[in-house]
Amino acid sequence: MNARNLNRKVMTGPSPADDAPPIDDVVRRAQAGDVAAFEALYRAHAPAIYALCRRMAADERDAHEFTQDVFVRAWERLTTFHGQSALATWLHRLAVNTVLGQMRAARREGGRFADEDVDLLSGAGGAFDARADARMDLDAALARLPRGARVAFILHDIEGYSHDEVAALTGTAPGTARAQAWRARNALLNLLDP
Amino acid sequence: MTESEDREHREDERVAKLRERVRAESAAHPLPDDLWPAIRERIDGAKVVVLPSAESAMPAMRRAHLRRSLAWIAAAVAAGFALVMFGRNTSPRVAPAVTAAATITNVADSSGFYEEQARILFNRLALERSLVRPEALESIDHDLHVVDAAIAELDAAVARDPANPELRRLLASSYREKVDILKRVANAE
Repeated sequence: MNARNLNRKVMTGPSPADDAPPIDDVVRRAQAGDVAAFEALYRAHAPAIYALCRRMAADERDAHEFTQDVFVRAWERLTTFHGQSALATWLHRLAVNTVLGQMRAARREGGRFADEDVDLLSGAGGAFDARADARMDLDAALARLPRGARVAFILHDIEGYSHDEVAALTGTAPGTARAQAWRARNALLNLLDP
Repeated sequence: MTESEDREHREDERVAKLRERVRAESAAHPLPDDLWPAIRERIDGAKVVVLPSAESAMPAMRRAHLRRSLAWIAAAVAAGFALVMFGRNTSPRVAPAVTAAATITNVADSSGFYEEQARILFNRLALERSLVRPEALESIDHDLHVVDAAIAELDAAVARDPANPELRRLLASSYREKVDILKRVANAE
């Protein structure tokens, strides 16, 4: 993955940091353990990270928790940031990995998302077809997508990752990632624009 | 424009609109609560400390285990070559054909499974490279190079003696070790 693609990915949402002054010094102070400096970084980047978490989780409460987890993890690992990419890029990647890690943990505990994916996207007679005549708002439509399909769609269609990258991130085969994104896209179109 | 092209064009437009809508609407959600106090509480707690680097985040026991794994693989390669050499100079062992064939199939399946796992983990590491310190990356790359060289040598040995189940078992074990190494690196991040 090259820097151009990564930068493109983080620019899909609003980036409040774009209007902020250079933050190298703030990053250095946060890396040295200055919590006030880290708070400044949080203030600059939290909206974009929250938007990403919300897209992936499709649940406001989960998005809150994931956003907190991302910034706690960022604090723990900030010294591994060496400026090879923009901090926004680094945080974005950290957020994707954190959210996917939490989802994997939830799946291990619940152990049923694979079946859920098959059931909800199984075509004729499935839950999507039954509601295709009603226009839904975006949040509700995203929330109705099975987790795996939603993540594949968000990472590929919205965040700009390739299917191979999505497969590597989610631990699935590239063909599965492609199929999940395609099915999620069709389901969303049926729900939002029948 | 043909009818099918026109339909395809309209479908592309719908998908483009969908993407724009998802981007615009999800970006429009402001942070409803200030999450900072909870984050501050968590990073102020004794449970969370700033780790100096990814390399030092890997506990000493894990690093020692990694070194032992590499030593094990080196020994496995040596054993593999010993098997090949002895196999040339001694009479073949007599074993039931069905059992030997089943063993080779099972071990080959096992190699394939671990090879796939290693590929997935390696891809993940490739995506997370920017999160790892350059010195740690250099060390990881070196270790993976050693493991891959061992696997390549065992692969070549298996190609020379494809009916040798011991060689295949060693190859499968080497792939499993590679997966274990990559998992330890991932867990240490």
